[in-house]
Amino acid sequence: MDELLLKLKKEIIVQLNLEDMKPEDIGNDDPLFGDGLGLDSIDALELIVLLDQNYGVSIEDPEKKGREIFESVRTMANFIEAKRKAVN
Amino acid sequence: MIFIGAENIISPLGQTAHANFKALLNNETGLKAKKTNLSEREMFLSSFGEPDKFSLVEHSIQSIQNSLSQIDFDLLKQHRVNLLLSTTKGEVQKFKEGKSEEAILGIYAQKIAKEFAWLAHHQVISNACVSGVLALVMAHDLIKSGDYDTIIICGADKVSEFTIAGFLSFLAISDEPCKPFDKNRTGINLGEGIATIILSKDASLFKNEMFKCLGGSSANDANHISGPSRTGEGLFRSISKTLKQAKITPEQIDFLSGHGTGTSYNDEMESIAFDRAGLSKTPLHSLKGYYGHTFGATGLIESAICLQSMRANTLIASKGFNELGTSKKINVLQEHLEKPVYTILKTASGFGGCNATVLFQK
Amino acid sequence: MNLSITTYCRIKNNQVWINDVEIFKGIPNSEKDFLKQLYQHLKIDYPKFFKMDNLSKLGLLTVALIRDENTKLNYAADDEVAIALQTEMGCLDSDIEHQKNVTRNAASPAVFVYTLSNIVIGEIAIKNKWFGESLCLIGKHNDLTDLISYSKSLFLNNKAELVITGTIDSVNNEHCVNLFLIEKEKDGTNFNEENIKKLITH
Repeated sequence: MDELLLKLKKEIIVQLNLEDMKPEDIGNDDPLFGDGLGLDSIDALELIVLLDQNYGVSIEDPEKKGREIFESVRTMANFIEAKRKAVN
Repeated sequence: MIFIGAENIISPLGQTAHANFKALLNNETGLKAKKTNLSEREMFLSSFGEPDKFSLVEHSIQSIQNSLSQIDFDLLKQHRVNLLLSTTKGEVQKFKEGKSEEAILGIYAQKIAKEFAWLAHHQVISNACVSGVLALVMAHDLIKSGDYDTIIICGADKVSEFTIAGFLSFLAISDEPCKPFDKNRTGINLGEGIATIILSKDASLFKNEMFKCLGGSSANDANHISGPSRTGEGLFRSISKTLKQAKITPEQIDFLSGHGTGTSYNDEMESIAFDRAGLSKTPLHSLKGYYGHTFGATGLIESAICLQSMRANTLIASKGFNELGTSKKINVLQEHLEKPVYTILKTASGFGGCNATVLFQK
Repeated sequence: MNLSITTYCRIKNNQVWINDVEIFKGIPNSEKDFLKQLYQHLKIDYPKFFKMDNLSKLGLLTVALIRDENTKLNYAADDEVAIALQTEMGCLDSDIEHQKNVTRNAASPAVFVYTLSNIVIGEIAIKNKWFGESLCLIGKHNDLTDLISYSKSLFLNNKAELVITGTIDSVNNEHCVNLFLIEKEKDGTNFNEENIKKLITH
């Protein structure tokens, strides 16, 4: 899980053009939206693309489920792990 | 006074403005379920054929020629004439073909303009979905200031893999025909088409009935580049400015032709802006249920239908609407309505936080 | 009505001039590209900058330079400033990048949104909180007839008190922008096609 969390942070920084940010700047449970990293609606869509492209994972109902899944890096990682288990 | 008329529309619903209007009266729609390479699911598109195939240059020339047939050409040759081309992506398939340099909109414009060598000038406006309405506003203002006597405006965009893929990544495309302002709306449909309208300082230019263009305005939301303002700020300001400068009150607006794309956020924003502007009781529609969203053409196609409505004294219903799904109450027209129409307000909103509005009057 | 060009910013070959005085030059072969260097030189703190395409970055920085030079923009009401730009190549960089993404079935919404030439104006409006008129034209830099006529008409029709107008292009890291602040003023260079052409080509 630690490896996945670090990998995700690196990918988020690149995908969302978070200039001069390092993985250690993002706490596992920091809110990604709102007061945390302050991401916006386009960033949310980019995270959906990231999950699809990098992990082959898609979200059935992004409008409803998106909020929970993208709450923090940890919730994203949990979602990926859950999907992997389901496949296996 | 600036006059407006000689409208043409080329769309899957017909090759003339009149044919298009008749199709709308008949409740026909250009939206058909089509399979593309870009999605496992079918999507509703209003298109002539496959994505990327519709020739904008050829059909823009045809559309302009149809409009020119509705005016006194000998008189026109004595005028200083500009051609404004409203488009967001032009011949966008050139990117797919590896010919990016040919996709530049100036090149697209040149191919059309050279067919009309007598033009004093031609110019491309590319301002997202407000391009068409903004072109009308600009044309009005340039004639008013004496820079031109007559301006021909032609709006065009095609359905393309480029745009389909883009809007799919935005999760903005509906699986169904779009439902502007409706409680169950789930997104946009893409469409393609062309429309031409002529504005002139000279009423005698027009062979048929012409109308007045009272000008318009634009205003930015200053909020987000793709998400509309939660307070409808830019649209509200543009409506207010347009009405104020024409000395028209909200009560004098007989009909409101909105943008109504069918997305949750856009239609909600429009309802807020219309309500703030005192237009919550004004009958309104969106035409996206007949044409889909035609981007650079949308403002012109929909304005041409406004002019047809004034000719026929008939208002066109908002297709796809059943039950209001916006926080502010607005008066969406559910059936075509025969009624004298004197003053129409046309609005548009687009990516980049832009909003534009224009007034037409008998 | 007297309309004058009171402030003028030009960027070309990674050099920046304000009213014909060079105020910044990019360091070649630096780790940071020219736009990032200029952003840091201007001490702007705006993380959204790094999500923008180069055209938008260039527009944003140029307006910041004009704003630093002419404080009138700080006193204008939020709907008094209009922006009218002309670009020849538009958003070509973003178009090409988006097409590459489409071809490999990986369209990115953050790239797609910039495949409209007017987004640069949106970014300027957001950063400066300007709710005024705006227009994006496409055309060569030697054909500014309509841009100038429209800019003038904004004053004549009382649609703006200040107009930022000019040309902007950024393709493949080659940036070229000429932006002018126009005011209702007797002092300053008269705002007309001839003077604009002189300033752009010299």
